[in-house]
Amino acid sequence: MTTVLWLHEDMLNPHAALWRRPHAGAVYVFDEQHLRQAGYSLKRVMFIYESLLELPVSIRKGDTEIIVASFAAERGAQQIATSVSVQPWIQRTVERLRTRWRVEVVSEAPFLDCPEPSDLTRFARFWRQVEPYAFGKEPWLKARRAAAAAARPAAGGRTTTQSRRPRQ
Amino acid sequence: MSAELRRSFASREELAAYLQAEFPDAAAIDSHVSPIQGGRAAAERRLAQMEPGRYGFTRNYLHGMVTRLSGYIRHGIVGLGEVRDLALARVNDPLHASKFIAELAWRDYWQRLYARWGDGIWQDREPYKTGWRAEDYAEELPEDIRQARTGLACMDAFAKELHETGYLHNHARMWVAAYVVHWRRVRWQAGARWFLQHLVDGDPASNNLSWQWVASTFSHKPYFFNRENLEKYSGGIYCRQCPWRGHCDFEGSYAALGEKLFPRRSLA
Repeated sequence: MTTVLWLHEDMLNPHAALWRRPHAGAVYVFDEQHLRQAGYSLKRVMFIYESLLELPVSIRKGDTEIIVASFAAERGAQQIATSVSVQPWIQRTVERLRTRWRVEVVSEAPFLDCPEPSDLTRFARFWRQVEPYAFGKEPWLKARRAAAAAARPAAGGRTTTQSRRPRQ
Repeated sequence: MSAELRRSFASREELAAYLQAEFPDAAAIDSHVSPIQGGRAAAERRLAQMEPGRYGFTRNYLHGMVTRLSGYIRHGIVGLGEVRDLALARVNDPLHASKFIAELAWRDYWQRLYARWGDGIWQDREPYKTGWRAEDYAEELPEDIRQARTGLACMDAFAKELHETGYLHNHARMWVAAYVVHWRRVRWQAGARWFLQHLVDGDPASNNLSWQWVASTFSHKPYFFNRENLEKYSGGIYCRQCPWRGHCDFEGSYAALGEKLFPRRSLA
């Protein structure tokens, strides 16, 4: 089955899992409605554009759905593959393409390899649930922490990174 | 089918000129060229300079050892896991990278909330805890803030830096957000939209939910600061040249400023 890749602004990594799919071309669309709605200044367009210049991708502007569909048709593709995104406008575009095309949404390896944390009400709670997984080497880190705690004089519990400050 | 855009340029200047012509609406909003270059190659140069240990204790200073990877992370050019693994490889003890890794987790946290709430990240997630109602806040960003003409050396410098470079240090973002929402009593949405127009790392989730954290619509109390705090973490570079030095709106203790900004809070 012939596949084309649709790149979007959330995944411009040349090493993305998407690139490992056998494909007959890749396309990026500067979506005019999205640009207008978000009000991107030239700096934002340029940052994305410079990132695209390092990728083997056809760069277009206009309506994403129309352009991706005609790009796929031109190359005789039966499937469109893209990267996962949590942005609603990208998800809606995927759904619209799905009415006529087979669309595969490719995920990357997760940052936190752990069960979905149940409590997202505040970062501190989220962090308590995921911290053991955040260092990649969980059992080793646990042992290191226990050793550090044992070596510290008993002066109350260690307050780690509580949710003092968000970060852009 | 729309025409393919050009892929070959002799210089960044040539690219910028081409993009100005192809994207006139974006250029009309602001046509500055950021010194921050897109692409994986530029990201790898940043990765090579990363010092996660020093980051932990200098990150709140404007001249601190921040990584400036945010634009690359936002566009997926580098992954959080990749950055984390590299950070761990660069410290003797993983605990020295723990502050840095917690900040990567913030990004992951915001993305999970975005997946859950979608465009709901544009709505107040909770009521303001400032004593003011949502209707008490202005809808639009005041022009003097956008045009860097408030007269406050710090805020004007931050607005210019945002427009000219597409980047602000995290602490500067917090000061600006607090100024817009609490001192000028403007809805956080107006400031959030302004940031997203310009920040090369502008991500709707990280940006909006951080604005909500400052505003108190996604936290249990408003974030604000005083001049002493700004002076300390900026190395005094703005206060020294400010015409309002010594009597600006940020002068005073946290208790006094809190009473001034949120006089109705105790009644709320």
